[in-house]
Amino acid sequence: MIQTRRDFIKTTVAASVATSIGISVPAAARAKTEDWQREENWKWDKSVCRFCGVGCGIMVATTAGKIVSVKGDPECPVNRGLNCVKGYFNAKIMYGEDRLTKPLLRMKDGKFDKQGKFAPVSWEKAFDVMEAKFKEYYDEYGPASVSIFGSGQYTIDEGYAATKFMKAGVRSNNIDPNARHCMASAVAGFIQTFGIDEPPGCYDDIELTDAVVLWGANMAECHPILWSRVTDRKLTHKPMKVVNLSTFTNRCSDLSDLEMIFEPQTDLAIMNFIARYMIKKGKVNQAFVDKHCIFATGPEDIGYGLPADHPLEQGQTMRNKAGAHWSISFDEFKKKLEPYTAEYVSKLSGVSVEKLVELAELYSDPKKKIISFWTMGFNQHSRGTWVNEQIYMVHLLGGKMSTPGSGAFSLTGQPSACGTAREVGTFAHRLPSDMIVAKKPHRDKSEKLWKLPENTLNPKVGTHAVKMVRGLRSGEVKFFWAMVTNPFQDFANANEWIKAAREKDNFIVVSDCYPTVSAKVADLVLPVAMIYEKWGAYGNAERRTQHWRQQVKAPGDAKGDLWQILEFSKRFKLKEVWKEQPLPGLKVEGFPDGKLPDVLTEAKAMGYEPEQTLFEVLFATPEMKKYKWPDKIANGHPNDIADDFGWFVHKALWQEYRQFGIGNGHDLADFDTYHHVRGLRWPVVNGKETQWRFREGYDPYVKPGEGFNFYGKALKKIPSGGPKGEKVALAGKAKIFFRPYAEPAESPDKQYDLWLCTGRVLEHWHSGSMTKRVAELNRAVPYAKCYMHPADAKARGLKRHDEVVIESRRGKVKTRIETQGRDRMPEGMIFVPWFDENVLINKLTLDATCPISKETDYKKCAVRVRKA
Amino acid sequence: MSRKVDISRRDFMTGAFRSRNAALAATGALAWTHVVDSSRGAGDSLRPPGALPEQGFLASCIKCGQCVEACPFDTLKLATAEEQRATGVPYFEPRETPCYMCEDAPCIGACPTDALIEDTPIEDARMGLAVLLDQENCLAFQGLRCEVCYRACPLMGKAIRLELRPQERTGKHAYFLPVVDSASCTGCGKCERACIILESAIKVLPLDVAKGRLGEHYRFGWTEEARISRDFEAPRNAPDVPGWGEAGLRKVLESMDDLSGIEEP
Amino acid sequence: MTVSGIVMACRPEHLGEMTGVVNALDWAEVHYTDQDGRLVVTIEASDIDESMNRLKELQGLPRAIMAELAEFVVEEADD
Repeated sequence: MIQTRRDFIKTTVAASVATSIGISVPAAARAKTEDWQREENWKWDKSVCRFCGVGCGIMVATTAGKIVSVKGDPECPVNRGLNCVKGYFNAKIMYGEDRLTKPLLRMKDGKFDKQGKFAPVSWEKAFDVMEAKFKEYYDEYGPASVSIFGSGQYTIDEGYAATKFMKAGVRSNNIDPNARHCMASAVAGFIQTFGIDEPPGCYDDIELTDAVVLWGANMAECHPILWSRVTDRKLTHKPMKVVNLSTFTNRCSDLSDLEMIFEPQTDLAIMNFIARYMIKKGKVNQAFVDKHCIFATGPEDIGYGLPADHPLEQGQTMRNKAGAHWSISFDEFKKKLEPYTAEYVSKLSGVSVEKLVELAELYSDPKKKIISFWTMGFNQHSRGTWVNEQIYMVHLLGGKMSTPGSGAFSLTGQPSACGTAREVGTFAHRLPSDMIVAKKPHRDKSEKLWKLPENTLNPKVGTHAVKMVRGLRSGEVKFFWAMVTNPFQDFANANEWIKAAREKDNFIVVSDCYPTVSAKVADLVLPVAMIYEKWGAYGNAERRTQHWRQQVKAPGDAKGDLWQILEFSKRFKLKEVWKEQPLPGLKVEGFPDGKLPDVLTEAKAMGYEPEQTLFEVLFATPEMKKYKWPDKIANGHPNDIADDFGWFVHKALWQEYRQFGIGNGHDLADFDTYHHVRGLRWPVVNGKETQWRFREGYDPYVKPGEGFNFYGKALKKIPSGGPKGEKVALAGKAKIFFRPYAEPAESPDKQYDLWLCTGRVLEHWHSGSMTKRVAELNRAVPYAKCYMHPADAKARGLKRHDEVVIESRRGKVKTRIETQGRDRMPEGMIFVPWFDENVLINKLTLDATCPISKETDYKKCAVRVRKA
Repeated sequence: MSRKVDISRRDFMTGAFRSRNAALAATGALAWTHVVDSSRGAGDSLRPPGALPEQGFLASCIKCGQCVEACPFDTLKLATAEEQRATGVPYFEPRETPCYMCEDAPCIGACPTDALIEDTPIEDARMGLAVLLDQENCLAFQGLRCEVCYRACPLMGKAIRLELRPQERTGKHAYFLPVVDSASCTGCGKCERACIILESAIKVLPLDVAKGRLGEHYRFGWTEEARISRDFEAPRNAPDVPGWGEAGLRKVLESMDDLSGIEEP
Repeated sequence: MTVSGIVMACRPEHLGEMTGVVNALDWAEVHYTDQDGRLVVTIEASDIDESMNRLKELQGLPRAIMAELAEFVVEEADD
């Protein structure tokens, strides 16, 4: 039934007239008109869903200063009006009873005390203490002692402002996002293979493909609306095949033609088997490979990203050079694949030879269009970068990349892991638009756009996320500010970091909306404005940037993260930050050893005064203030941050930010454009978005006649033949990496006899801080269960719903077991989702990382389970 | 955005169009005095067409039996004391005899009180709602070409329509699935009567038993255009939300001290 | 777009015929009737002038005793 607005009006007018002349109106028509009358005062605006990386467009309704309703945006190409059950509750996430509305500081006798109890304070007092603690550490230990732990849920402007404040302002590269736990391996895979980040293809591939292969992606639960598109393709396109590769049976298996449950970590070997099979059967697309690719490999003894004194790191000679790589010949590449026979890989992985061959055949068929999707099964992997590169190996060998309907597509977990964390570059080693701090030309360009004196930017890669919390433990990191994320629930080996935060000499600031685990661990809690209480933009997995306007006001003293960064920047004078700074370990050409130079003299020549604040120099600049508030693009919508500062901060930041990407393969449209469209996929050149990058006819950066051009610029000059070979340039080419199988960091043994895998469920988002506030979602999935094979339960004398204690070498939790339902475990493995703050499963997980991407492997550690 | 125009004050209005009857010009909000309390007494009996919602109906019906008398098909019956129903009140059982939806609805005309709302057009009657309760035994849901209910429906294609889906088991056929549209279904029960399996797979249930209710916080996006309101007015304050404010702050501080999830079990 | 709520009247015995004639117009719809011969009708039109012309058309229908405007709603156009 299509109920148009016109129908509503007619029904209401007719009912009103009928009533006035005494004709009775049936109940159904009455109810309809009542609804309509109530809803007539709802004001609708376009926005975007708060949750995952799919990036569904929504419409939000506001009345009397409150978001009262949402609906899927039928004009958004991603979801065409649909939402998942989390999206359905966007209107309720802001209205939990325990919203934080005032800054809370640990106090004793009216003063800050790390052992004190939380008490409400004014913003001024909060910033006074925050400034004093920051400067106490910063003045003594320098920029390496302070840090911001950011997020793939930052809006783009928030991430951009935080980066600018840290990198250009206080000259610290210690800003890293929770995307480090989520997409870092995907990023490293993209950069090493293509020289540029993010997927070449887009969601439109789904409607054009003949096969979808899932590698460690529970799309059915974690990307529900995309899964609905895959399902539609499966139902309506006869040749369509779906393959689910996973370490346990999940809901994707229900649609699959082929399910392959493999032993953890053996995906590395399965990939090599496929490549070997394609070569043996002569299925390599030789013309494509010859013209557009080069073969490469790297060191194998790279360790597990654990601290240097860990037993697993001993003898791992290349643990600090894990990312090095060099070109090899096709013959050498073939030789390296030789051990990965069907029999060997079958034995290792536990997958039958028949299934392995069936999968390899699917990739080999030159007539079949094929998409590979993956998420955390690949990325959260102690060889995450390798396995990302291996999927490109398989697609590139077959010439199945950047082609409508074919491509390897890295799905994204968070709503703006791409838009903010990656594109803005809120990482310890990055600058906007895929530039990095270690490269002089990149620093030069950033210094120019940011109007900084030369060598203001710190050339030394900062501490990545895992190193940040290890730094809290070792005392190297003293100031830690978490924004839009819940680190003490989401870091693996959580007990260690909670203890370090509470017991060491440091200062922990958490900007949050509810009393989360991290808020409770903090010294200072800053209340934040949530998504529809501020202007913002997110960038989804298919490079689609979507902006929204503020709809309502935040409660009490809650303020947007952007406001918090800008206000805090008022507390710093140039003379405090642009003077000479100690930077232990710095050894870079053009810089004094162990020091960042004083740039105040050059600053003065540029017209800056030492007494000026970072706020004036980085944010309230004459260029930024040109963007006046109010602006007609607001269409009546509020902007609390612009009201406070007096100019249109979001627009100003966006217009500055987009300068980084223009002509650089990362072109974004201007601010206003995004308020008239349902998102655009970058590069946006001459107002046109790009569906398939690197492909002639679609990507404006590829010239006629080239067919493909893998034009990414990073790492395009590598040694040839071996690590010490002569460097050769390989412009326009993609790399096909050989990567070997490697043992997991920790495997089950006699003491801890089960694998533990953690992840998400459809009903809850990440650490549950928002979805646990929605009563209906909490009712649907009230706590994190331990999914277990019935035989494993029986062997331990357990029945369904029994209370159990799960322990690893690092910690324990209590919950109940489940032996059926959405996740069906193989023997020897359990799954416990991580949304539940009362079942802090990350106390158990191991903080081993991919040594290249520094992303934690949350999918594999050893635990035991006993009756509680 | 739409707005009502006070027609008497518009310059363009000529006298010819001005309403002669003051009552006709009423433009105020509709005030429905009718209260439906769905939490009480959701009966399981189907009532004659035009019946007030159950509570109102039971209060208004004087058990005179005139509607039963007027029913030309003997559809309507009066509940006897032996039955687990409100005694003396009319009801019908569609598997036995459905409502034939007489155009002039003699039952309504016969009602001496407001229990059956006067002049209810029969297609606006809501005696109940057909629900396909048992998909496992419904032949259409198994892929058989039955759809008897669909064709028996007096509002075929409207109250019951067919949704086509590929039949994956055979890989060559399609399902023709009956789907009821509550906006059109009168609850006459012709479908329940017609269902050809031993016990009907589709049954008419009283409306308040049959219907779910969507929360106000969500609307189906495709039911109207995605229009952006152009007359947005910036709110001055955050909304009143239970728990926010001074009392709420005390509770927040308490929960900040609750470390039960963080400490070891 | 505009929607006008109209009260029409005809002799009770013409009610069926009247309803049919009005519903046959693609811009008008009969919503309610009663046994006294009254009809509640809505008219859709792009603007006020058109809606007035259409009202005149209803008034001019054979068998129509009266057609009077009771309520008028203007739906403001989107972009």
